[in-house]
Amino acid sequence: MDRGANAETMMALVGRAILGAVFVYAGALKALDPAAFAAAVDGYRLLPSPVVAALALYLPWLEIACGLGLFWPPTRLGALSLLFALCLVFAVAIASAWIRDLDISCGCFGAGATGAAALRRSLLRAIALAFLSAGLLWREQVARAGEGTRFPPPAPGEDS
Amino acid sequence: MNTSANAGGEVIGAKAVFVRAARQAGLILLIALIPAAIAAVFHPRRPGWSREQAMIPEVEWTVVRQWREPVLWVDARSAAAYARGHVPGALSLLSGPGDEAMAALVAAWHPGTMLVVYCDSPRCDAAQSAAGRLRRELGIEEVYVLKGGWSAWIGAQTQKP
Repeated sequence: MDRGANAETMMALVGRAILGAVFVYAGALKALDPAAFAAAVDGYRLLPSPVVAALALYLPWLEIACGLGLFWPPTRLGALSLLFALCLVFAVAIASAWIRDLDISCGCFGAGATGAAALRRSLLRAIALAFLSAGLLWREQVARAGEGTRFPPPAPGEDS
Repeated sequence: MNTSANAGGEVIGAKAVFVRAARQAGLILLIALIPAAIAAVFHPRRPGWSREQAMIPEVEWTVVRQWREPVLWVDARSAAAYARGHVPGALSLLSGPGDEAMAALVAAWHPGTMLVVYCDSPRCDAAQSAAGRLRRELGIEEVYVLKGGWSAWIGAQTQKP
């Protein structure tokens, strides 16, 4: 591998580390207190109660699983896809709360500041994370596609 | 591993990448179900399945007015909103550092006192979350949320002769 590719690999590694750390941290905070997270999700007034409760139990663990999945090559592509989708869903939910002028907090990292300014910050963060995961997803896909051009088909079970 | 990646230099098709991503995503979605299911049964802080279980009860100002028990008002709005005006005697949760506000609240509260938390309007969530936190962290059972918040309270004051 040449130097340019090496630098790109390093950048992707750093990007993955940031994205993974953010989601594992956010997920762990919420997994510790699903009841508080349920109250936060309920504040968005988008979903009925049983769905809110189920989501409050599931979403933190999904975030942790995706965050960890980034560091394991056989699940990296799936984890990036899910994180990109999650970021988009979060951005839409936050934007809807912001538009409806709800005085709530994002709930992304446990209890936080409420109100329009806080929601705007959370929205920007969600969009930034969406871009980061989209960029990594793009690179991952290109890297995968490149495998076929540079090497003969890898042996079964072998992965980058 | 992938049939469309041949040695002739052909790039893996977008479809193959998509299938692989979907398969991996499905695996992650399934794996996350396991701890979530365990949390649903065993987590000491698992959420209630109905809204009533999860929510702190709301109470109308007309009801609070008739209570015989002493009432301690808690303002869950921003420090600026609190400075502009608040329910007489209300403690602000956000005017100072969080720990200080909590300490002031603990000092002001006595057994038998009813805590009523309010935020700005019917559309605010701060009172619910603050009330939930007070109940959890201080173990006070008599916690309520003022229905309609500050706007309902101020509306009721202006209606009075």
